[in-house]
Amino acid sequence: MITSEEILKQLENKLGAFESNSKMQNVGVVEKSNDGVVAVSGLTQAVMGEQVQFENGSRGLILNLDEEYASVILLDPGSTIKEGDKVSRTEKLLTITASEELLGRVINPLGIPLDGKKEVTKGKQMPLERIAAGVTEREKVDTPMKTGIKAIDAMFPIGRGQRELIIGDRGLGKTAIAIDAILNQKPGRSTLKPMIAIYVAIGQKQSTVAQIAGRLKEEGAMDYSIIVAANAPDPAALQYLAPYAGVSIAEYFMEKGHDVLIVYDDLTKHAWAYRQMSLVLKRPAGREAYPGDVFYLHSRLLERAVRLNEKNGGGSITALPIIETQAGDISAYIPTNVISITDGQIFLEAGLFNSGFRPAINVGSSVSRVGGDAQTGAMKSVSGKLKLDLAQYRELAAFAQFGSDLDAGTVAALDNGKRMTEILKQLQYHPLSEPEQILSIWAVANGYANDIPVEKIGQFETELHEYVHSNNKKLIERLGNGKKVDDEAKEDLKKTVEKFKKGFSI
Amino acid sequence: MKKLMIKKLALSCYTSEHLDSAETLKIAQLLNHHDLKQFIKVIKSEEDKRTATITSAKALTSADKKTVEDIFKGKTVHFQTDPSLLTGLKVQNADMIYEQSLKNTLEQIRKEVVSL
Repeated sequence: MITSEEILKQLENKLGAFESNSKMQNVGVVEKSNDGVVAVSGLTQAVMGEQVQFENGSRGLILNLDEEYASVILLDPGSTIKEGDKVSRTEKLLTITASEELLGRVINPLGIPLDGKKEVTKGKQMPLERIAAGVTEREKVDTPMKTGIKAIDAMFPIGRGQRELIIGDRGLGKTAIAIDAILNQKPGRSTLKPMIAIYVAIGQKQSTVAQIAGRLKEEGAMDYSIIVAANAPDPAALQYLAPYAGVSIAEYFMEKGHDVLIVYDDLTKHAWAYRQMSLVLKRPAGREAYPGDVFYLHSRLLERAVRLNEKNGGGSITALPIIETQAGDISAYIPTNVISITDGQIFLEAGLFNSGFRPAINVGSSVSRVGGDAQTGAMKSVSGKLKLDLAQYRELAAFAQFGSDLDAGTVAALDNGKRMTEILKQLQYHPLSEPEQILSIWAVANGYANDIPVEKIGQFETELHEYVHSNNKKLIERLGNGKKVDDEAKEDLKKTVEKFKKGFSI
Repeated sequence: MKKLMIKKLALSCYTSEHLDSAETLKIAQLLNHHDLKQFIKVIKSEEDKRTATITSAKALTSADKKTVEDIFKGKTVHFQTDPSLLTGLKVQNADMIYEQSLKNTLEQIRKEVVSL
């Protein structure tokens, strides 16, 4: 309990060290104000991207330096700026205060809390705009970032330091995949270094963000997560800054050696906000009215997701950007831009979603350019041929639609393929650990579910997991150590699954 | 007329750092309403660059005023008083402000204490 004497002593010390700051100050005058952009004359010494302060205390950011005016975007909405108001330089670029106290918090891109708690004022000032780590500071991506989703961890594994795009139409489960990935980072779920998660909400409904925060809290994920939100009613400037604020906080943790997972939900709305700002700033419009540097907008953001080498701390930032397409068109402007920047994409399809295949991942169009390097030996040995087998199944299934008589081999392949597709379905908010994923995939790939009706595969999987957890913990440990599934482990797997099947009834 | 042309016209009204009123009036009468607005804007901005404003709590003595005018040779110097400064000076030269007043110092102290 701090006493009044201590408070007085602090005050005395602080005032004793006080030195009057009588520097020359460069000022400007507000000439025009419209659509959240203020034209300011004067400010001849100001630099691009600098923070400025208005007479009424509100902040702005210089985004255009023209011959006669500097264009300043307002960061504090609802502030009343009048013509003739004085504007002064702060000689600072935009920064955000980052510290461990941010874990579990919901903040806006300026660090202002949205969860009703106190603002975090003590910490390191991380610049929002920063050049990404150079080539010599980086390390190869070879450690898995497990999402807990079978389809992704088996066929499109994501590594720590990778950028994997989640792309699809609205309502197909893009955010669901990202949230499951965050939930799977709970300490204790894996033997790997636990990750910190940052969820950046750009231009979303406040109710959606509240729902996500609620779900993360319920599952105990808020202890290692931070939400940075610039919602739909917020100015376009805040929506533009949100991802940069998120990655700046991520860089704080990465520099301390942590592995960070950052989700940008979604970059389509980010591009819209930037387009709105650029049009108001009278910058020339290009294709689809986006400004000419819309590629740079996303490339400089995503390049900041790196894996650092041991010399630089060994930390990493894994980025999961989300892009919303219209009518499945992945060849539109913004989707093609972001696809060319990221190290792979997970493509969600409406047809699959409506047929009940959730997560609705299109196995043919999705890819992870890091691939097997980001998989443990155990998972690699089990899922090696999965993609190819599924591709062959899809070819056969298309052929079999014509209904002619099929030979036994084709029928068996089709049956197995149906069950493989079925086992890749997964409920939302139920990420699976690696041993559980290996169990499921191995059992079905090796034909142990061929005599079980397709609609009972889900039940088969759930009961198999429960059985192994209760009766063969050693197998779970063995599958979770990351090493290749050797013959001894395969034998153990075989015996366990056969034993389970004897007791399994539909 | 293009903005650059209007700017050149406005700058041509300045002979040896001072505004030539006759020349300015001559040009102004030849411009249309829209161009005249832009012309006035440029003249105003040029005048601001060539003006220094000294604000003091109490009126300065003639000797002090002469000292200031010598510092800002070539510029038009305006003197004004503002008792709220309490004591000290505030100098505005184009868009640069230098303030060493009691009001300003007290405000800085207040900000320091609030930030504790």
